[in-house]
Amino acid sequence: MRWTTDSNLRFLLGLGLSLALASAANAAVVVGRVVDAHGRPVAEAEIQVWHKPNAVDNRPANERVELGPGNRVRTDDEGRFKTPNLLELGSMLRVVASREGMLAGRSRWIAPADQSAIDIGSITLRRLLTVSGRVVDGDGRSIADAKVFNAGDAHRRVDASTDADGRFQLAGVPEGQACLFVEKAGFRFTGTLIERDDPITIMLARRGESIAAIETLAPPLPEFEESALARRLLEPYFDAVSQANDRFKTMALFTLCQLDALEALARIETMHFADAEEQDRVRGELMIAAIEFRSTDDWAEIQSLIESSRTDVTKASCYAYAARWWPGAAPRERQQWLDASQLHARGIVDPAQRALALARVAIELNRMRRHAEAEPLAREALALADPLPVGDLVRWSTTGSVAQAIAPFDLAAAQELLGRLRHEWIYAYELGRLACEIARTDAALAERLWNQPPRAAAKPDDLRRRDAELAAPFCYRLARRDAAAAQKVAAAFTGGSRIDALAAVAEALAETDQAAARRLVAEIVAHEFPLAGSADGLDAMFSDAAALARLLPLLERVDPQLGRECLWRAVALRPPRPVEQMLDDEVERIDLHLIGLLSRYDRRLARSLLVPYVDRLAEFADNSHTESAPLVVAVGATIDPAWAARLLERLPDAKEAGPASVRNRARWLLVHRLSMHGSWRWQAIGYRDLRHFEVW
Amino acid sequence: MFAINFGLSPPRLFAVSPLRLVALLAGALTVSLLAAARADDWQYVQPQGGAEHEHPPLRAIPLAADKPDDLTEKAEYRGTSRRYAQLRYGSPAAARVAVVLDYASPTDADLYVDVDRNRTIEGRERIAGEERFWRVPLNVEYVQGEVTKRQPRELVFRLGTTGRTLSFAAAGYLEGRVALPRNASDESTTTPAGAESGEVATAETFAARRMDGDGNGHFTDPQDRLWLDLNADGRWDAVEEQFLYSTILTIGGTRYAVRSDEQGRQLALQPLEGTGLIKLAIRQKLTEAERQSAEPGVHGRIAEVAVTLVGRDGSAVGLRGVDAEAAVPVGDYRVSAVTVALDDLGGGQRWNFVFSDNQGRDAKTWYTLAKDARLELDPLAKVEFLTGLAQPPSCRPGDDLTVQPQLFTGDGLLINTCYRGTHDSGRSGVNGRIALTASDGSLLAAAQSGFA
Repeated sequence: MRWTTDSNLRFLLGLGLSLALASAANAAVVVGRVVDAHGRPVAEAEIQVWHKPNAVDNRPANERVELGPGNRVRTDDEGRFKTPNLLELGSMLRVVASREGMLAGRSRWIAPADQSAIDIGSITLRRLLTVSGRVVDGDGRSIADAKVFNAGDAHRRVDASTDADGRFQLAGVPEGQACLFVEKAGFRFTGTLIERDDPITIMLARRGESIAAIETLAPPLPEFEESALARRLLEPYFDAVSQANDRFKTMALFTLCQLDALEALARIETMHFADAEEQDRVRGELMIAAIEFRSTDDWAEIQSLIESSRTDVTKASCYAYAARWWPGAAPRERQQWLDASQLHARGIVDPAQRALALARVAIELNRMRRHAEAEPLAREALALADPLPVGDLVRWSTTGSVAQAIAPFDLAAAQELLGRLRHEWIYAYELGRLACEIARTDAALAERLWNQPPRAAAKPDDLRRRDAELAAPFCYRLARRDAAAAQKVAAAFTGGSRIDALAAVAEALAETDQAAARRLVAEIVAHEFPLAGSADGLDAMFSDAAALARLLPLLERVDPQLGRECLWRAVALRPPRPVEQMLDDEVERIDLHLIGLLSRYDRRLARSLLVPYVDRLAEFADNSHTESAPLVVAVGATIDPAWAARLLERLPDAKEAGPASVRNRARWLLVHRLSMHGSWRWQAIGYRDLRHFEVW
Repeated sequence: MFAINFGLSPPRLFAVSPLRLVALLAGALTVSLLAAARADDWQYVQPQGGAEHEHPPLRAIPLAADKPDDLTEKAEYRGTSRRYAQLRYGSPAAARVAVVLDYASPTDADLYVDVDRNRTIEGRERIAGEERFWRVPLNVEYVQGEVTKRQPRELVFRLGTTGRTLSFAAAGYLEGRVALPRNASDESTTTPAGAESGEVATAETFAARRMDGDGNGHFTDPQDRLWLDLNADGRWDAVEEQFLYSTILTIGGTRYAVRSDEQGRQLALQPLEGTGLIKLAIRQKLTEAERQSAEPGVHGRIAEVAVTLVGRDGSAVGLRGVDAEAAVPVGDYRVSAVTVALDDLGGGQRWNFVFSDNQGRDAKTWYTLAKDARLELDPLAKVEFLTGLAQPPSCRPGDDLTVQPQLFTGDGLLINTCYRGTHDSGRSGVNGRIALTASDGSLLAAAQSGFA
């Protein structure tokens, strides 16, 4: 299985380097106005200007612009402001307005190109209000000493406790829409969405009392209607990519492939790629997708497509993939496909590619317990890989796969090979992959490899990527052989990786012992999660909130009422938004990713959480370098496809930008979501299917 | 054993000579001592449906909704829509063969093949078939100047169950024997008595089959198959005894140069013998005088270098060190990767650069190494830097300008990464600073970029 997540999409969309150019000059002035949610001017609001330098790793790195001593900028009685003439032309700037008792607001990113004043229009600040209400049990009786809090909507978490009458007053909640959460020992955790500042009553169920269970919702539209909408939306994207580079053509084809793999395979023949090798690689990926999506039940049809590809690399890869994934294949058929894969592997000239292809066959044979046939192949792959500069980035996938292939026969050789990897995070990752593979058969050895001390040069961050991607599949496989050991390993992780890993253990337990799985997930959900003080260094995919939401499908199976609690806990774990964090898109990404996950179970809640972002769509759209606008539209697709299609039309369509325009980036992402159905869609929005986890 | 069946469904043998029959009936006996099988030794065999080696794997062919402009249709179709394909079966100069699928329903179609290559689809060219499978007698055409030779063959076609893919293959195979000469150094080699001068080869012969894997009528393409019954058991092992055609094949640990004509009438395998010496001749370090007179921008000297060479058969040779050398089998080699570490003359950490053919230039530079020859290579003798800008670059204020600097070696390898020291975190490695200046030298914009 290949995960397609927002993280991956960001990578795809973020490739390349752009330089914003400006004409020669030196400084600019920005003017604007600050108003409240009702359009009334906000006086005495502090104005900050932030600068976005081009970061070395292409991630946002914001710096506050020093406006100079005595140049503290505040709004006047009309809410207007004007910065000093100190802003560097050509750089990306953003204005942040804040005032005590209000939620700070920000402008879009702007790039002053000349010395005339730039009017950024209005920045809206929401007031922070005091919300009052009462917490009661199912019989209407007051609940004292319950903790009521708001998190994720404002700059910081605020909380209060109920009095003897169950009443509370919670200050610092943004006006308009916000979430309140309530917890008390002996009761189920709950949350509610408020949209006005009227007093509210929140009902708290005792632990053991029934509450609404979670359940995967039926798609918002019938599958064929979603597919038809996706097809309609996709065609303009194909028009846009016709003159674009190969990467965009590939994206268009992959999306079409999700709708109709055979048509994508036919269409690629009519398209011109600048790089013929790339075209054949894409063709191979499309064929693999045709296998994955089971585009036809006719194996001979698939095989004829594989055989029509131009390179042995593609053929070897597709046959090996089929041997693993073609449903219901008899052992003899799988053997034939592995034979074919091996034949084409030997036709590959490039030694690294050949070693990789042979290693894949050997790995499959090992899994089929055909070690006698696997060993010579693994040794041949090792001999091919040995003289290669395997320590370099370009060969690391070969190194990892060859190590997996040879490990059952010569673990020392596998470790020696991996030891040549120079990049610490790649070394950790590939060692983790090896441990994952070995966990299928030897729990103790796998655990030992996983816990192997990092090399001297390794930094903590080097293990983070391994943990984020492999902790869960490793613990899942380990747990199927030794649940206690897996739980111990899982508990040692931190943050989202810990949740994912423990959930993976529970997933494995659920296959044989539902009660044990239930106990473990209850522990996970009841865990006191430290609330992130900031979003620094967080990744949307791996936040605590997202990890907890990813637990929902398992809870749906083993304890769907606890699932409701877990859902609210995930919402409560949204990170706060200090003023500085408002500059960064990462907080938005965490929220949008979470909203997408929630849409599987509660579209009303998901829509409510998405609306504030929809309201800012124009601001996002102005920032052509961010993915917020496409993400908003894509998340909308899983809530209400027709609504999402209308949102798409609101985005500007710069024809000259071709497929890179904001609208087309959003179009692609929207179609990508709409064209996935069932479990594929859930995987596309970030749920995992550990049973089919593979990294190729 | 050979695919001869004297039962109810014998294979059809074309132009079988009595001598050939004798050879066939001799089974696994090694009767031919020739290095190359003679032209008339190879016979086309067309097995019955379902028999072993009936045809190589079917390959899908692109279907078009539009009729080829020069194609005339006289057939009275029963369907409502049609799809078209064309294939060339024989020499590049042979007339293409038009194929028409006439759909009565999405999964029910009639197949028409322009078997006489007259660019007209006639009613009689409708092919009888069943279960979406058709066998089509079709001559393979070899055009040699003014002469066109035709040989009777058969193609098979299959329509996928979705009705959207048409695949085909050339049915049958060429059958003959092939000699595998051994290396002269092999002590088990003997010279058979009575062998003719010039034809003597210390060889064992094996039953062989050749299949036209890509269905173009030729037998020397990379997807064509060569089967060798290496253990003479009369069975064909798909892993050990099947090879994709290549000019160099490794069989039983021995590398062979493979020579054949396209039509598959001849096939000879000769061991690749001999070695030569490949030596790196990289300018190793700056002399003191050079260092003193180094131009601005010359910052380092080579401390370490690793070069990977790849042969046409996929063999790889690793060379480490500025003056490393290795004895390798004769053949053609190209540079596949270069890793070089430069000392920092300022005393800082080493600079490491990795170049490889990954996304390098398509045109490869091959170096031929002859027997006992010495080949000196300096893969870093020349480098070329490109900005990746369109020529001539132009932009206006406010435009985005995409810059993708690329550094190539003379062999067309692209720089993949650069890092300092002995390890690279992979995240915060060395970055390049890119500056855009006006013609007067004033800075317009600048950015930093890592390696993609």
